[in-house]
Amino acid sequence: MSPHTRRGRRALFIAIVLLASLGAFAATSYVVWRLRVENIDRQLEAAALSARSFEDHLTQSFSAIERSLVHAAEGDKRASSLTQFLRHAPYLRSIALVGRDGRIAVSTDRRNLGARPPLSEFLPRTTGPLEDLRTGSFTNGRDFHDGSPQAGSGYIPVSIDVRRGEAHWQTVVASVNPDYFLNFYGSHIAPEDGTVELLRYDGRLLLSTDEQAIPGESDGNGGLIARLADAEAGRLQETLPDGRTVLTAYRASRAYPFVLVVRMDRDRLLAGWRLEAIHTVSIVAAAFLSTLALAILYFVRFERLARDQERDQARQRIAAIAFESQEGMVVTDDQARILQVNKAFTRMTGYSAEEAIGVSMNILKSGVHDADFYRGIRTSLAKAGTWAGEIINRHKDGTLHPHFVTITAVCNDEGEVTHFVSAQTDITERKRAEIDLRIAAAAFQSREGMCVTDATGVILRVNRAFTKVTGYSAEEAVGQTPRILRSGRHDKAFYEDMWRSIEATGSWEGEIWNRRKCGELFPEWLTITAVRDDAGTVTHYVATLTDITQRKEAEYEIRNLAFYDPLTRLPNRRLLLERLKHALSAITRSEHGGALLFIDLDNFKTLNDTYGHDMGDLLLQRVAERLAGCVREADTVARLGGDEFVVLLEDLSGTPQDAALQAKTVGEKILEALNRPYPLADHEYHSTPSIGITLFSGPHNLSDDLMKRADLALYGAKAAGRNTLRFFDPAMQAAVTARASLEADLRKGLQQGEFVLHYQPQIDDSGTISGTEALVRWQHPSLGLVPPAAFIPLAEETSLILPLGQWVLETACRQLAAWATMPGRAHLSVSVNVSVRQFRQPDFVAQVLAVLEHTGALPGRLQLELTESLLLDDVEEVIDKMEALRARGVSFALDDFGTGYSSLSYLRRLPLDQLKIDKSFVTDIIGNTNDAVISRTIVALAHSLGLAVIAEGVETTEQKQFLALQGCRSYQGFLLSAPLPLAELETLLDQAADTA
Amino acid sequence: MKRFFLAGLSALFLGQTAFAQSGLLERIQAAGELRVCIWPDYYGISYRNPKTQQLTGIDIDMANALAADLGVSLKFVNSSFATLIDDVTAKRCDIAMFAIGITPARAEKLRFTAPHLVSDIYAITTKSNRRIRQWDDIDKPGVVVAVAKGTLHEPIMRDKLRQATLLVTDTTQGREQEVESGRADVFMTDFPFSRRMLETTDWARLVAPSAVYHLTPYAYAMVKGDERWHARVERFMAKARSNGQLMAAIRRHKLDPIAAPQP
Repeated sequence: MSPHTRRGRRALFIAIVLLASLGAFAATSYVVWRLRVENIDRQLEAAALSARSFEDHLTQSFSAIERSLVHAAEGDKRASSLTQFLRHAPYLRSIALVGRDGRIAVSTDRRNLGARPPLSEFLPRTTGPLEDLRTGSFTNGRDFHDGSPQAGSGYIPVSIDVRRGEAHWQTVVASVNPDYFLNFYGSHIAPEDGTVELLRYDGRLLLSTDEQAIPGESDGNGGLIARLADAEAGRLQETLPDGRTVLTAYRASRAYPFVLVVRMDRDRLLAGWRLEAIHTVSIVAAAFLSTLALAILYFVRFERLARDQERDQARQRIAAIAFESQEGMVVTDDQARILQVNKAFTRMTGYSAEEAIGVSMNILKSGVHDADFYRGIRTSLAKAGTWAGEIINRHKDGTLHPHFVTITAVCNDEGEVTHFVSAQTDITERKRAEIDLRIAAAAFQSREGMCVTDATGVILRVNRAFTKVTGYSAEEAVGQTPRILRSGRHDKAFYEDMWRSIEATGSWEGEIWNRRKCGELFPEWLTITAVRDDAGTVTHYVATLTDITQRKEAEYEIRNLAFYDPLTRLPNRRLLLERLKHALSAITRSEHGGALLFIDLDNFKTLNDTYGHDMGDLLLQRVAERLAGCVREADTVARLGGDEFVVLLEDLSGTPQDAALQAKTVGEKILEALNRPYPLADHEYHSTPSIGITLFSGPHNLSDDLMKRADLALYGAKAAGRNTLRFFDPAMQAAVTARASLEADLRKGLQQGEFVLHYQPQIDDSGTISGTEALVRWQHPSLGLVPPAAFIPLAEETSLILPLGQWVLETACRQLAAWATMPGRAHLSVSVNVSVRQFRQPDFVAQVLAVLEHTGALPGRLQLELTESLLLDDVEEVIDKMEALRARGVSFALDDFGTGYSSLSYLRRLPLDQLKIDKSFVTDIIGNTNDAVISRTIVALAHSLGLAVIAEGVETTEQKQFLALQGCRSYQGFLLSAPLPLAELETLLDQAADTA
Repeated sequence: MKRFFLAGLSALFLGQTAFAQSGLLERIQAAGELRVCIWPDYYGISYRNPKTQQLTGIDIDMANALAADLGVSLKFVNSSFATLIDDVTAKRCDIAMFAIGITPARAEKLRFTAPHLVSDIYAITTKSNRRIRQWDDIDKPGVVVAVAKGTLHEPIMRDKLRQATLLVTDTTQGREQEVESGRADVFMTDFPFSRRMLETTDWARLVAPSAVYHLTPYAYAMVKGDERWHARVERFMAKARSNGQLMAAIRRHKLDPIAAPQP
């Protein structure tokens, strides 16, 4: 039952209780009210009864009085004979005979003699003699004689006329003792309960048991007297002047002019009723409350029972539902006889409920378990009351199924087993799944690294092999993505391809470089398989990775054996030829040249013979190392065998002379390196090489030819006396020789001050010479003035550019300082070309500043010209250096702008002041549209970057005009002036000053 | 047996004197009868119930005991206070047993036993009498006090009243009638009689003295001069006192408020 009905029940109960309370209250009230009414009725009745008996007593008393008086009148007229009438008449005080004069003539009390009773006031009134008893009103005093109005004492005079013969009447009077009646009334009705009044018929009070009442008065009884007209007797409720309510009964005397009134105090009379009412109410209340308490107790108990019942029902329902669970449920008696099974059980065992119920659980016995097994179950049930475990049961169709069974013994209150409840689950699937899981787990812990990720690539699980391969423990890897393994060796396209494959085919496999936790890169064979759910959505990815470093190493080893010389680890002849072939084919696509150097150790045979092959091998290894140290990474050092080595130089200059020079440089470096003593096993061994060089460029060269040529050149070197190098081409040899002498001349020239500076003026659009570009010239002793193009590259190669540059800078600055003091020259600036090598020097800034310092040149007049090739270096460093110098006032121009690789972004960042449009654009500016566009663009670019722009090589007026048209305001070129020696420049300046 | 012998012996030796004096004891023994004077209206003392004519009261019990003690039969002789002295001296009875107040006048004529009751004087009025509320209202002008002639109260009240009027009635009933009819306001009586009035009428009201008014010892009266008889009675009384017979009788008739202290 729901709480709703419970609430309803409670409400009903309360309603009934309220109703019963109301009923009890109403009934009690009614009873009490009835009691009151009845009580009043009864009291009225009692009052009436009292009134009746009092009236009876009164009437009889007065009847006796009347008789006594009549007899007294009739007897002799002596007092003594009158006295006898008083003997047994306590209601009479005295009897007297009245004479004709109205005075008492004879009396039982002599003191009364002569007294005159007021007979005319007696009732009933009469004019003549009357044979009926008449009464006066209450008179104070003990008797007729007693005139003293003493309180508390009085008498009622009565009279009667008795006929004594014809027309003769004897009047007899008596004083009636009111105490007699009061005693009588008082002994019946206690004064506190009520009062009894005796009224004369005219309403005058004769006597009252109420001591406060004043006899003789007629107040308050008018209504009562009026009633007498209707009824001689009656009863009524009255409210007295003092507020008390009284039950009044009155009755007139049957024979005499008296009325008796009994007034009972209602409140006092109701005292009994009140007590009774209180008792009644108390009893009813007590009874009702007891009943109510009982009812509540009963109700509460009922409620509890109902609740218990509901709970029981709910429990039973739950039990029923629980019983019909997915588990097979069986209830058996203590002998394992089946009493109840659920659907799951029938499904699980094949036995229907009808088949199962009543038979023993043994029908399920598979025979797989031995008797000990079942004994174990029984023991467990007996001891613990429960058993749980796996049992192989036999299905009705004979198949065996593993069931997980929980048996619970149900005991009665005495602790005796009455039932067994068994819950069983078919765990065939679970078993299978467990096995699968075990297999999967075993498989997962294979020697291959495995990693499972979710669909988003977050690693969920890794195996031990994964940790072993990658260095990441499971804790570290789980939650990460496989990106932690990325080596950086593969580009984006590689991974895109990989994922495309996975999406398309569901898997990918291949070789991939990954990075271990320690940072080491390693190759691995990776297989990624997408795991999809039934809907085809990818839920997981499984990656299998195998570290193939060893395989790679093995491959490498194999390759080494094939292509490398085992002794020196240098490429062998085969690899050399291959590379040579490769180099030759590469050369055909580029404009580079290459060189092949054959190196042979002089007198190696002697060493071998003297110190043995071990020592020889050791030497060869050292030689190999030194050779490798002499060439660039891209070049190849190979050992052909014995003491024969080959160096393959690639990416040499396209011009044969330059290439020869480069090859010679390398050759000389090798000579120098191999000439150094070899510390071999306690010996310092000296060895010299002979080198044969052949150059190659273009496709027409064949490997074998080249090899032969180099070999021939080697023989040339040997022939030339060993420890030297020889070119295969004699012309080349000559060129190389010439170059070598030039270098020597250059060095000498530097020492001897053969260099001079020429200055090419730079003018602005007004034609004023604003500055000059310092250009170096070599005054060769024998060759005459050598142009810079002939010696600058050589100087660059040989690092002579550094002292040369330094000299140029110093000279220019000195000139600046000189001009600074000269009128008309002070404004001139000097641009100095700075080579890349020069600029690259770490102390370049310091050098420049030092020069400025000691020459006293104004930094603001010095402009350094850089080439775009500088921008290939570390741009930040370049900017730092430039900024440092700019801070001192040195300005920068970018030379040959447009020929290099200047990217706009670099350009923007460089703290430049000026762009120089390269001569090559200016030359064809008129004829070549392209160049025109370029120059225009450069000008626009310079303007947009806020840079000044100057054009080089302006030779014609057209060119100048064109440039001016485009916004270029500064020029330099033959149109104005070729570079001039200082003296000529001074002249020009003077001329300019003069013209100005 | 021994007593019997002694009694016989004394009779033998003293017989002459006894007879010569015609002693009451001898007469009683000779007649085998004890005559006891009672006032049959004396409630609680010697009261004859008019409905049954049965006598009840302490002195009836004591008279029976005395007769038994003497070994003779008992005969009650009606008497009253008015006729008491005459009845006893005329030997109409051997002893008067109705709680006779020892007054000087009586003591002059009669021989009393040691008193066994002591009563004060009480007044009886009607319930509705509004003059008499308490004892002090009695001796006031206009108040009429009734006493019966010959009772011990007559001389006492005559002596004590100063302002009230004394009314002496011939009979004891008379004083009651005077009071009931209102001609008198109270009549004076003793404790036992007042009890009777309260218990047998519905109009009587007791007015008790506010302090001790006048105590009168009650005893049994015999003729003077018969010492043997008196001694015999006293011996009986002593025995009745000592064995509790007297006190039991007093209690039985609810007179213990006026039981006399032991002599």
